Amino acid sequence: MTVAAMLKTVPLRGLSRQHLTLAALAVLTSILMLSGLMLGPVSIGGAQLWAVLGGRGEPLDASIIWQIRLPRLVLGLAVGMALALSGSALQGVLRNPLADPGLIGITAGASIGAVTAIVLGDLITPELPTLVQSFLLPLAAFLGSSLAMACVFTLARQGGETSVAMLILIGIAINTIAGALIGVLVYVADDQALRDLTFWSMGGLGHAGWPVVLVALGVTLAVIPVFWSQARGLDLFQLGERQAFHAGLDVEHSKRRLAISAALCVGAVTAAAGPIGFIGLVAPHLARLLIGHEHRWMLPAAALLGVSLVLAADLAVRLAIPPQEPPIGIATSLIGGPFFLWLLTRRMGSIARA
Amino acid sequence: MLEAKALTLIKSGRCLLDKVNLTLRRGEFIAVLGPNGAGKSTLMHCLSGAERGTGEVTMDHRCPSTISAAELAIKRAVLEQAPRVSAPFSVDALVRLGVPRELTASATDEVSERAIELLDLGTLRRRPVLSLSGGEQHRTQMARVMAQLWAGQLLGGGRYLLIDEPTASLDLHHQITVLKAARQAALEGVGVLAILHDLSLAASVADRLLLLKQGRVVADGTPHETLTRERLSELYGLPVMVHESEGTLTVTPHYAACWSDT
Repeated sequence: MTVAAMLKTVPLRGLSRQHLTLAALAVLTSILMLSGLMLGPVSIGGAQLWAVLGGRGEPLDASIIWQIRLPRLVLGLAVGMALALSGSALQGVLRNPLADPGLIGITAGASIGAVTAIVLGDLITPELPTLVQSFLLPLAAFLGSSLAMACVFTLARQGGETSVAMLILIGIAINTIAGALIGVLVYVADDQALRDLTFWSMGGLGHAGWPVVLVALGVTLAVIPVFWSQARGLDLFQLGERQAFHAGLDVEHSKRRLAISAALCVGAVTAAAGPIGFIGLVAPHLARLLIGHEHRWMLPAAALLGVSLVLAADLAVRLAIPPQEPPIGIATSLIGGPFFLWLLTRRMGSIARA
Repeated sequence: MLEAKALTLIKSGRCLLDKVNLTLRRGEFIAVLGPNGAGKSTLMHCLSGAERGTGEVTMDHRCPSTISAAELAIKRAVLEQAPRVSAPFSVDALVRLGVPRELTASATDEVSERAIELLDLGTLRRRPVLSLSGGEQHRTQMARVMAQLWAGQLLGGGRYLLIDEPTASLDLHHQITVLKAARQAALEGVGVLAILHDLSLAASVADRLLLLKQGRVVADGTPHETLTRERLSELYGLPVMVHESEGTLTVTPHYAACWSDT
């Protein structure tokens, strides 16, 4: 839907390889979306699904779809798009292929915020209406992720360029600090908060209710146009910041918009789904391999791949040992960890130099 | 007119530019010369709007650092020293990247095509830039800058071309190709400022030379006025010979004297 709208703004000169790649990715994403609705401990056939979506199905099927699988699917969409686009934007701005929101500590920042809200939220807002409470978690996560983003952007610059080694080291530092702070919060948490916290910190699409899911989707959809409008800017960043300025890019403005957008959507989806690693690293790289480096193609491809990866990982953990459900983070890390190592070995030379 | 009056830039206690005066008129070709660290690139950054010093810099009566990046990109095109790309764009895509988005698709095609032809990149256009040799990458960057300049002209600007070491890492033939492009622009009314290291090349191509040393203007004038043996020997700290043949100056180190010291 959004991707289709994005594509309309691209001048069409016949069907190119890029169009076909995007179409294939859209088909893949649709298949995974349908599978996400139909497969699970209780499988729901096509006809039943159609009936439920039309408002006519069996009450059991209807409640499975509306209460369990649809919020899960919607959250999967938001998580996939948000992490893939943020990863693409950070890698573009920092001219650095390892800038994944998880690795450089943005997700950790969001986690501090979210955990603070879970543990201390009840102390601050016992009499606030539920609607506001469902915003408290994403808001806290956003504050945390923006703080981490500000740290990364200020610390990683050395003479106008961001060094790869520095970026990863800052990521380690922020992740360590976040780990310690979360430890403190876990120590002071009461039983109920501890329970919420444990489920949340394992990461997963299945624990969030509709309000939080809708906030995640809404924020993500709201920042997509910002990423999209900066597609040429992200291309220009590849020339280096000064040369990008000479070519007409307001570098600081563009950087600020992209950083805030990334912090916003990473905060919102982390609040809803917990920390999910490596999507922001793997999806943009696969997109570049499939469709090239120009961001007007690469951004929609990365978004589709992000959604596909998240939905595939979710299906995998759901179908592995039903009705048990291992955390989705295990699946994404199983794919992402080795991928990260492969990326490191491929770039060993330039990292050693940095 | 691009003008600097008493331009001074001090950064972390070091005086990079010291009361530099410079006037670049439209249609004029100025070459900036001087030893490493003389402030040549810094001067270009101040003129292009990337840096702001004290004193006065005006581009058509406005201060460049107060003009938005998008508007500046239409008024002037800049080639940075040793530009590097971090993504493997194709030559074609990189050249197009220089063209402002305001230009129509067909005009974009036209200016990028012209730039690719002019810089002799026709056979390389589909190749990823990172797979090219240093000199070929440099020509691609120059093509991008020329495309930006022409696009600016179509949009009512394209008045100044500022190029930092445009001939670095190029073979003889392509040094001339690149400077021909800049000279052609000057003939069409563009004010060109080029930082060069080859004194003979600068003397043959430029209308005026600006010699800098430690942020100060040492000389400003025609090649015959500025390139004297005494001045150059002092500027570069080594014995220099200046020959004249068929109206052009050739500057070389006095090799015999240089080696006899050691």
